[in-house]
Amino acid sequence: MAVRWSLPLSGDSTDLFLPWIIGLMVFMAALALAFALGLGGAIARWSESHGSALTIELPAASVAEDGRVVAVHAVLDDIPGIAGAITLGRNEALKLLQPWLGEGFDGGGLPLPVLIDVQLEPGKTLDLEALRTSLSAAVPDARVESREGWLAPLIATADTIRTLAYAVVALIGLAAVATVVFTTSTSLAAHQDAIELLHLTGAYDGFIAQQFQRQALIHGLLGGLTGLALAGGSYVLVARVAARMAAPLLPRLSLDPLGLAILASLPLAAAGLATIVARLTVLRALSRLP
Amino acid sequence: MVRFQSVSLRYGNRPQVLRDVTFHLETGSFHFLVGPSGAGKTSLLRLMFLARRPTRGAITMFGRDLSKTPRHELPALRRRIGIVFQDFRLLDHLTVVDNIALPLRIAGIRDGVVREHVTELLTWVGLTHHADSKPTILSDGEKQRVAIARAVIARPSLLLADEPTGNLDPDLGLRLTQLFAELNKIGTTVVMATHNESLAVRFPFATLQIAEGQVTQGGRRVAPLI
Repeated sequence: MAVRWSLPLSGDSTDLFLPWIIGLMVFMAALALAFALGLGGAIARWSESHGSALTIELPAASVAEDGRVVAVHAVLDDIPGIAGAITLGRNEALKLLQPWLGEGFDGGGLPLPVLIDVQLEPGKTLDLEALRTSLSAAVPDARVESREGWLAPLIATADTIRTLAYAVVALIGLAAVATVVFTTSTSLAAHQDAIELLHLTGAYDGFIAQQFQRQALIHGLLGGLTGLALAGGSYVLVARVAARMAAPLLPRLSLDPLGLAILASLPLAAAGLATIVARLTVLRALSRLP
Repeated sequence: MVRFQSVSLRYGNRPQVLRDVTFHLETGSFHFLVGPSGAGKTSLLRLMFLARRPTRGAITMFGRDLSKTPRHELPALRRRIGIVFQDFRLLDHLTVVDNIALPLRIAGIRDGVVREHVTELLTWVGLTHHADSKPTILSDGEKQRVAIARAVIARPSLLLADEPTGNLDPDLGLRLTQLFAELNKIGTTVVMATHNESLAVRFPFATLQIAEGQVTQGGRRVAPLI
């Protein structure tokens, strides 16, 4: 009760200002964090699919395909480091085309290449040139497509973008710290006389700081919840728009439960950060008093 | 109770406001601190209520050498000092009751005891009818009585008053000084700064004269060096 009464902080100009600033920062941080976490999930999925390291493609041809497939498997059986190879059927090959040609596409009479998905043993690398040479000797029109060639730069790019998104979150955090320092300092200056009175009446620094940190906690929670609500609304809006778009090349940025929990904890993090920063700012200012 | 030994004070690079001040206040004494405006009365009081540390010299209060007292132990000493400011320093967002109760709340005293003490003090200063009023509606005399009640509610050993009668008419000033004299009778050491020497001469108390940053008594320098 005493803590609540001693300083008139609730009437401050920062009372209106700080929750909105924190709300805006949490909004931006939530969007950047959602993007970073979603991209992280996409990278994980891409990396997982990278496990089947290469595909062997046999162009649709008039010659009997069975013979070529058997020949390819025979070559692969002799190469160390290959865990297995699966020949995709026509239906599976069609599924791969559906993102580009639509769900209802049945291939019609379109000749499709035969695809053989080659799984590598974990941790093993393959001499692609040696594989190509062996295959071309057995099946001249076989083409080896390593996913590493295009997936690795894509993952590297996505990883860089994700790092940038985290950097944006960190910068927003720093800006939030600076804002709380500024508003707390302003409030300290505005209540200088009352603070000196408490100090001279025998109040410990912690007693005075407690009032500022309590105010910062309320502002942080209010702003944080507002920002998170705005970010949630924006996320739902973007997700709805994205669902209506036929954009199969764009990565799916869905959030797992851990990601959602991290986002949901942002208001608490904002409130905690504001509380700690306000306390440290006040204690630092009071330490200059005798 | 209070011992100053060769104490000097300057603010930043400005000239010294107190120079080589040495005096000793006995427990239970009453001193008027008199001198013209700007002589250093407030600076001397600020040293006594631990709002500043001296630039030079040694201050001993309640038997503690302040230069050797760590900062975190000073609040406990400050709780033994009551201060009455010339400008009252009341908190306008609090009621009269809450202003008076402030030192006890800071000291963490429980509400029941606080209420009991505040009621007693409100009666003593004659402001029971203003218990729930905000200071903004009080007259200067009433504000000063609230400030006095706040200063004494924690039963301080030392009461310091900085020009407490400066904003009051002579009659009210006299009555307030009589309040301080009552407190002194029950053992509180009192130092009351005033530029009104005609008020001081009406009471049989010692006088600390301050001029040009130096303290003397009755024209003699107060220098009971150890």
